[in-house]
Parts: sequence; C-alpha cells; structure tokens
Amino acid sequence: MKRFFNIFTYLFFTLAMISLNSQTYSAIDVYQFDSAEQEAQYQSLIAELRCPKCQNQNIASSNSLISQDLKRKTYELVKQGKSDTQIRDYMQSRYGDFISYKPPVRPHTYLLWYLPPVLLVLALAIWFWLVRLKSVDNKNADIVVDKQSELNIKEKQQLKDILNQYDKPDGI
Amino acid sequence: MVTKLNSKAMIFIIPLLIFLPVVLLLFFRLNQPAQVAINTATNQPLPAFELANLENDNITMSNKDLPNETFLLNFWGSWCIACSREHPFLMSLKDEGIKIVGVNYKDAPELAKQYLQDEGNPYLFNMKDEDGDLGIDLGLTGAPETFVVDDKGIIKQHIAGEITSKKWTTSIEPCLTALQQSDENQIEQVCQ
Repeated sequence: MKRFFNIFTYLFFTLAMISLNSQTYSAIDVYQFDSAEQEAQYQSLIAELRCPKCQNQNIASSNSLISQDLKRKTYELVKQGKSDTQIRDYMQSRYGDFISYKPPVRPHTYLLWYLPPVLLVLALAIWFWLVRLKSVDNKNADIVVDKQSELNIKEKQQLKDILNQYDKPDGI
Repeated sequence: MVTKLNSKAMIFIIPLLIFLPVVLLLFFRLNQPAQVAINTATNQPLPAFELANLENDNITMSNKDLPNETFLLNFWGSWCIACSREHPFLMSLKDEGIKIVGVNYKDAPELAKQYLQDEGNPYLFNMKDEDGDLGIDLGLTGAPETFVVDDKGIIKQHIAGEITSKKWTTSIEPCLTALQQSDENQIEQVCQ
C-alpha cells in the first residue's frame, strides 16, 4: 500500500513538473540570431516588455496575438542591431509607459520608484526607535528591581547569621 | 509605563496608518475599468502605411487613399468573435452615412472576403494588415479596435473593444459632432 502511494506521489509530481515546464516553454518562438548576445538581448527584452492585452503578463509568457507581434517586432529590431534603449523607446512611443515593467524615471513615476525605498527607510527608523524604547524600558526595570533587592542592616545581619550557621563544618 | 503603552500602541497604529491609504486606494478603484487605455496615438497623425487592398492584392493602399473627411478606421478579423458582435452596429453606421475604413487584421483573405459577403460590407474599402505592423504603430492591443481620424488625418480617439450603442452615444458621436463643428475646446473635452 505504502509502495503504491509512493509510486503515485512520484508520478503525480513528475506529471506536475512536466505540465509546468510545457507551460513555461510553450510561448517560446523559434528565431535565429546572429550571436548569443543578440539572443540574450532578445530574451531580456521580451521578459521586460508587458503584454498590453493581458492582466499582468510579460510578452515572453503570453501567446496572445499582440504578444506574438511584439515579440516578432522585438526580434526584427534586435536583428537590425538596435540597442535596448532604442527598442524600449520604440515600444514606449506606441504603447506608453504601460508597455514596460521598468517604466522610465519621470516626475509622474517618482512615487513608483522612490516610495518603496522611502518606506523601507521609514520602517527601519521606526524599528530602531521601538527597539531603543524597549531597551530603555528594560534598563529602568532593572534599576527598580535592584532597589527592591537591597537589604537593610538588620536583614543583612540576619542573612549573615543564617549563612554562618550552615557554613559551620559538621564536625566529622 | 506611559512610554511602554505608547510603543505598544504604536505597533498597532503604524501598520494601520500604512494600511488605511491602501484600503482607500483599492476602494476607489472598485468598479473602475481594469483595462489600461492606450491612447499614445491620439492627436498624432496617422502613421504612413502601404497595405494591399483586401479585394485585390495588386492595389496598394496608402495614406493618400484615405477620405478627406472625418472617418472611422476599424480593425477587424473574421476570426474575432467581438468583431462579429460589433458588425451589425457598423452596418447601421454605414446606413447613417458614417465613413468607415476597414483594416483586416491578421486574417486569411478568403475567410475575410467570405465574412463580408455573409455579414454585409460596412467599409469604404479594406486593407490587409497581415503581420500587424500598422496595428503596432497605432498601439493596437487586439481586435476590434477603432480610431476616429479627422479630415487632416489626425487621430482623435482610440476605442478599444467593440463599438456598442452606449459607447457610440456617450463618447464617439459627441466626438464626431465636435469635429464637424471644429470646436477645439469641445474636441479636447469629448474626444479622448
């Protein structure tokens, strides 16, 4: 029974991996490049460009008509020796900032680019502040405990007597 | 004791203060269209093109063949279900005297011609954008999509998706009227 279960699990995961793989690679087109650099440029661009028809998907992973067209156009421009910036500008002039997952830094995208680091710094500052508050609180608490644990003269004498009593050798 | 209480309260208050604007932002986005409107082509001249006529491959259509008056440039395909839903409305527009130029988008010419024979032809003429290059130049995202082009060949409106009677009465017809009256302020307001 256990063995059957193991085989079943193995088969399930193998099939899951295969289906995942085919999904990932189903959208890859067969294009011939002059060099490995050109292919790398193409791959990085289609990963960065966004499918204008889809809900949050790059053109690399989309099979929609417009994504296929934009991939072909990207390929043509790469083959013509255009730079990343030139290809980005080409797409941006036709589809706006929306086309790229890396929108240009402009006054109306400042919030997009600078808000996350500002929030991070703010969060760290708040965290440091809270930790400091806590450590000051702990120090104050220690002082209170010390004061409470201080013995008066009578109590000190009592303690000494008790300790002396038990410190005596038992005479063996 | 007071600072301890404050810092404890802060642990709840700060995330809440960050969370609240997010909630408000998402709340006001409810029921808003999720599709991003791509309108980079508006107020730009129609890009230069040379495309074969759908009816006759030997005839090349270019910018100079376009009407010298305001017209609709409609991208369609026989494969596109939304286009066939839109088609009867385009036929009624033709009857009203609206000039429509068709761009047969990424289609098989035989199927396209058959489609026009079966459903009727609302177009002045059709050109074939088989590889979708004119589409890319116009920031097209699919079919059907329509552009309102004025008498100077400037794109005034980009309509994504099918033209419905609601879209017609609320945005397209007012734009055409404003263009007819050459009222610049009105054009800017209604043609978007």
